[in-house]
Amino acid sequence: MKNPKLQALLAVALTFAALWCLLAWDPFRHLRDVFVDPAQEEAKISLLFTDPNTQEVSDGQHPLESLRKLESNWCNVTKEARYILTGNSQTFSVLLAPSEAVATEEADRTYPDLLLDRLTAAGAKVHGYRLSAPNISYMEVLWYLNYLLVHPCLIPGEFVIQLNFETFRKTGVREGMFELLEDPDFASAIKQEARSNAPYANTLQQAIDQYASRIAKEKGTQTSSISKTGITEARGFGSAFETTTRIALDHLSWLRSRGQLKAELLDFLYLARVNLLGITPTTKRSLGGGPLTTNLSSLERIGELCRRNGIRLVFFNAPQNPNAPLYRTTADREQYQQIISGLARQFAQGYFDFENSIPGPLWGVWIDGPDPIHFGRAAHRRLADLMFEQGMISGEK
Amino acid sequence: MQFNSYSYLLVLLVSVLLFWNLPVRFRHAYVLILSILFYASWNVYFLIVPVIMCVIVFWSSSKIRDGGSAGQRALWAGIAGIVAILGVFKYGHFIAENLSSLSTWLGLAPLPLAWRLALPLGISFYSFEAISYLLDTRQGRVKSASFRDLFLFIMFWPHLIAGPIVRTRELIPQLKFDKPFESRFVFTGLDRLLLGLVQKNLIANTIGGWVDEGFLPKAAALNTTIDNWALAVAFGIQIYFDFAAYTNMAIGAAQMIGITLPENFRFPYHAANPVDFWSRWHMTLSRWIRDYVFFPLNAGLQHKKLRLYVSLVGVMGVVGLWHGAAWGFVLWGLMHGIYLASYRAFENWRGEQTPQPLALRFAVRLITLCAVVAAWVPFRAVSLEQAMTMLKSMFLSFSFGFSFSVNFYLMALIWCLWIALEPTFSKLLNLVGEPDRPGLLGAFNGYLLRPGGYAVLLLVFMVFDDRDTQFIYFQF
Repeated sequence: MKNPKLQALLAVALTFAALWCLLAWDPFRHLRDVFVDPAQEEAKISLLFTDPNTQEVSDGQHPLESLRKLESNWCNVTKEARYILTGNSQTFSVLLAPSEAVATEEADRTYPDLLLDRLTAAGAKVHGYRLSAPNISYMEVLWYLNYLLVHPCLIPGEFVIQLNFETFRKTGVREGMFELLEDPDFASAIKQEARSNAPYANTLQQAIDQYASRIAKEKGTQTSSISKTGITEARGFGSAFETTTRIALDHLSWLRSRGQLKAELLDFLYLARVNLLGITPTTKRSLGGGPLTTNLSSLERIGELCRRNGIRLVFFNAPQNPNAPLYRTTADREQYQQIISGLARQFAQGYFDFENSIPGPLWGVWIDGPDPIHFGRAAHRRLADLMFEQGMISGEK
Repeated sequence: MQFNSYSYLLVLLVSVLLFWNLPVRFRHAYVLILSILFYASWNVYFLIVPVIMCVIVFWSSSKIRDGGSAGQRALWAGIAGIVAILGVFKYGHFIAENLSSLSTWLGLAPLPLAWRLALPLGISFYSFEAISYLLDTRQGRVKSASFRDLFLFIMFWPHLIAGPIVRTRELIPQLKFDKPFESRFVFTGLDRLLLGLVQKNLIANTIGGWVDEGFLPKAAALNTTIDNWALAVAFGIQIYFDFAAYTNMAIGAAQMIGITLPENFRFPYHAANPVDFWSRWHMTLSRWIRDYVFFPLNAGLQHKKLRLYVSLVGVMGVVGLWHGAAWGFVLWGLMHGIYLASYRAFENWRGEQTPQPLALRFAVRLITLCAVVAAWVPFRAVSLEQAMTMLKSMFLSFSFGFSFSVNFYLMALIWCLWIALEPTFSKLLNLVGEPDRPGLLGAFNGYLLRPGGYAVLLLVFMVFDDRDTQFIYFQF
């Protein structure tokens, strides 16, 4: 082509055409599928029992709507016993054990659902709610608890926390939970927490700052957040223009898929890590450093808040797969046991240890072998039965 | 308007299209308007500062051209004016804060702190460019005397916020915008722009999340030696890709309208020694400091080694302070000053002409890399106390263990490997060649290879899109 302007324009047009093709073709899904074993995909149950009256259904991505619904429900039953159970993806996933049949037509229930069913069947007048999220950290549990405490209808009689070796390694507050800051009472309470000297305070402050910055960008307003260099962030019409552009682009269906593409790419990278580098979900690990300290301080604060507000705090040690223990050394296991028993002694009115309650054959199989976190149908039933039989939920108001 | 935002990319595309269809005589004004709008998109009031600075520089440079002692006085008055503006906006609060601490320490009443001024974006960068304009004028290197050229030299949007710090002779002659269109402007511009987008969104932003977490004040004290080294390396990766991304996007955007900006990076982590590092890292700042501060300060003092070393450390301390009004930056600069002076002393001791054996060369390279990485700790830490705690854990008080997710260490390792292979990648990319060559190869390059590559880079940019992050050097 002789005309250089046409040449450049054609190349730009071809770029957008190629981008459109890529988005439509979804390359990351194809990449991911290289590593996915269809049998394992089937073992991961997707048809799960869902009930917004007893579960936070967004898994931490948009909890505000769920909590507002819960508030409207619970304000009608303030005189009855209510409990909230919180934990990681173990509380809302079913990964079938090799001996279990493939999915049925009926939606599967996980142990928090089954426990509530048992309690209801036994005639207990109790309202339960599962407030879980994948890879939840105890800073996030503290975040949630602060929200509950500023809404009198949401203050439970019992607050049940799943203790899990893996959770002590998680940090931060996910972006999805920032939206709770829309509530002025909660925002004020969490800012108070962030001003404390506790190790978790920085994490909460970071979440508050990120949210303020995001809102300022969306609205094109000026924030008062000051960086290390003294810069006071200022936002002019550029930010408002960017918001408008994003809203306009979101009307294009082929552009909207980028969130899904990211999830698929991350899945692919995770599977590549497991398959190519041999760093697997069952790779042994230790607890320590900042993540341990911030989680520990969060749990201590949760204990103080529950005591102050007359909430019965219950800890349960989550089941561990005997075929895939996560502890790197015996010392790691002992350290973990010491930490949780110490916490339980100091703060909990109830402590239940289910670490060895699920036999190996009832656990799911994931990628490289026995799954360390998730288990199958029978295990969920067994755990719910144990929780019921041991009276984990007292039914106190 | 961030470089890695959708709105900027769309506006850039339309602006470039319009630019090449405008008559040459309108292009100067057009680019100036675009630059003003770009800067005002953050805060319209910010515009006042560069305008005032340009007025001072224009007045001063007119007097300088007249020559004589009045010219000399105008030069110093101009520089003093620029430094005063920079000082008030950037260091006013810092000075007041430190004076107040000193006064409290002496048992006196604390001073009332000055109200905090919003720091206009890019003030450190365009202040240096304004000073170089005055000095170049004094040396007779600035041919144009027009305010329009001066204003666009300062305001030209690609380099306005975070460099590269351009010289008058590099940019002003190009501001005629009289080059005829060539398709390679768009291709090479897009190469750099899209590379920058990916460096920012895929690398700098993703590793930045881990760095933020690791440097949280109360948690950092609990990190192990391995964690702290990993965090220092991770921040080294983040700041390199963040700044290189900005520079690539700046160079790319300028290239798309036919303007060539100077390079700022040349594989800095491949430096053979501390002196070499500063010829590869933020190259336009290094040469500015060298030409306008270090050489004039040390003219004729080559034989006074000690004074040279002290001056080197002092100048690098100022370079640190240039980055921001905090002691961490000063410490970072001083550390680099000590590295440079130590290496100079070592070279003098060995004799500069003596060839170094391979093992020694390797050792110097490794020590340089470790020293550069360690210096990032005070640069990133939120306080001197935190920096000291982390440095102590890295060098004196060892503890072992991995506190963060394996993904963090793995990511740091992967990007380290990437950095190690960067020169090789660069050579491979050069093999792709120019898109405007005639024949089938040119067509393959321009209509298949490049659009395909661009689409992949755009996809990665979109997938890792994160509106909540900004460029680190926007703060300076």
